[in-house]
Amino acid sequence: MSLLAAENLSFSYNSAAKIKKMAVKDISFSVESGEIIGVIGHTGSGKSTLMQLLNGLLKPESGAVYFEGQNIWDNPKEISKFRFQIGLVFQYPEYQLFEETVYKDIAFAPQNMKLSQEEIDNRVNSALNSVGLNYEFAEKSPFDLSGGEKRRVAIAGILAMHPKVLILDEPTAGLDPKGRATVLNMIRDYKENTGAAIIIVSHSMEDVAALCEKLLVLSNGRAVMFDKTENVFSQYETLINNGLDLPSVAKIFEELHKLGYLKDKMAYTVDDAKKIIVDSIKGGALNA
Amino acid sequence: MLKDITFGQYVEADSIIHKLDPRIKILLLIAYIVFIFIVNNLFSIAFASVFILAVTILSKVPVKLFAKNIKAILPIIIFTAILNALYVGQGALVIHFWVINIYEGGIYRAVFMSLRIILLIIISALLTYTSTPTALTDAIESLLSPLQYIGLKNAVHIMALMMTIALRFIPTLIEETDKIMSSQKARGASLDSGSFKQKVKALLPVLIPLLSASIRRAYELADAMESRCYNGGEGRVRMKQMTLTLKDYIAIIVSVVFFAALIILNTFAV
Ligand SMILES: Nc1ncnc2c1ncn2[C@@H]1O[C@H](COP(=O)(O)OP(=O)(O)OP(=O)(O)O)[C@@H](O)[C@H]1O
Ligand SMILES: [Mg+2]
Repeated sequence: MSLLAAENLSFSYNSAAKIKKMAVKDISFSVESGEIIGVIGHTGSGKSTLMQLLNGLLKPESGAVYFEGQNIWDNPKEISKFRFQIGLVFQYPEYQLFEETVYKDIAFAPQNMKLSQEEIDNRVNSALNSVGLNYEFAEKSPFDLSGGEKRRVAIAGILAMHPKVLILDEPTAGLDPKGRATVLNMIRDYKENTGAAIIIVSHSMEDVAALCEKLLVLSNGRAVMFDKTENVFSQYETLINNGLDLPSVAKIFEELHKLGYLKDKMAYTVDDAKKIIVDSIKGGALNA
Repeated sequence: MLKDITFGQYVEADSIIHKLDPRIKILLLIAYIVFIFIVNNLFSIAFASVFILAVTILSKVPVKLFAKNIKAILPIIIFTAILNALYVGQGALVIHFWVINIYEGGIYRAVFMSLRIILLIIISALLTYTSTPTALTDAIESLLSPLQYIGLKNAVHIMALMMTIALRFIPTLIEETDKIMSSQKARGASLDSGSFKQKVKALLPVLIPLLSASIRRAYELADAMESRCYNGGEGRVRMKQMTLTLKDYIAIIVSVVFFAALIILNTFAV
């Protein structure tokens, strides 16, 4: 039994347009505890829609989402129970902040879970800790923070639910390199510390290469591939055809292969590439 | 989905009514309203009904949309009809029941009043069904422009600009509301259950981010307009100039003939 499984999910927005366009078509995949899965796809491919289906914010037209073997829509009245277990961080989540203080804002979800005051206290403090903000921030107004800090507070607001599946929709969009690294490390740490499953939507091939074991590739609402990261990136043609690309370092390696160098080696992250190239130079393989 | 709420009532169709200059449509609407109030016998109002029905068909707007409008104010129509039926005591007694006496004149009056209200609804709806909100604001600005000669130079332009901006941002705000509601639901907010007091309290997590987003948007828009040298209405020209065409003159002539016929009927019919 998978932690979270989607079976033949389909969904279309009912819009004014006469021709109904399916935003998500017949998607099946599953996630286990401790896995990090990347979701990539061109703009409008249905990533955000799929994420909202997974945590029960949208109801599938056909197909189902199973959390620990249970269909989340079995009892629509209990849906918020699943939303607490499957935490979804929206794109640009900083715009959802509303409380007077950071503390109160992070406490919003735990309060909705009807936890004891003591438990709420613990969760808020540990969530602040996880996103690398110290306790001074707790009493500040969220509206006085920088964009990156707001983003972290918003993520903390979801972490405080202690979700078993953490879904993040483009969590690094609009952040500077340091902010991106901070957010990605936070996500990795959360997985290490809790064993939760992570699903992360991203437009950055570099980010997903560095972070994810598996990738789900969407195109026009369909799942084109669901496989190990390196297997997905080895299907260069398919990626290009679906409006995606390889991480930049992988493209450098492709060029090196064409020139006859490092034929049996491949890297998708800068760290791997650095290691391979340094080793090769030391071993004399790249000498002119 | 909140997004499905349509704002304004514009119904796209390829009809001559749609193509009329919105200024002419507004002015004609006012004239029709005046004439419908002037006529005072059933015969004339029946004639007006036939004419307006023809215009409605010409507009290619589905009849059921007008029916929906009428249904919405049906209680008012019925109330007016009953009051008139009860209070007008002319003609032969038609119905006598307990303390209720309904005379011929009462029935006549009730039908007349109902038709009058229905016609007013239909012609007003006709304007909004066949003109986009933007066309209407442009037309209002143009029609109010004489006010600049009595010292309200900028007021007209500013008012029209405010209307345009408000219309422009309604879909954006609806989308934003949708998104904020979803993110608060993801944090377990229950937005549609509980007592009235709970519901109002549950709205805060949506209203506050929405308000702050709107203020942010307003500043951004002001900056964007200023960086493109916006300096008020003075010297501005429109991309879409409104000019009267043959259709508009035909519409005016047909309407004037109709008004004349209406007055003649009203004066000479018994
Ligand atoms: N609220 C909505 N109402 C109607 N259609 C929508 C709505 N949200 C998304 N869509 C449509 O559904 C499709 C999928 O959109 P979705 O937001 O899931 O794409 P995405 O992969 O997240 O794109 P992006 O990378 O730009 O965030 C698109 O064609 C979009 O136009
Ligand atoms: Mg998206």
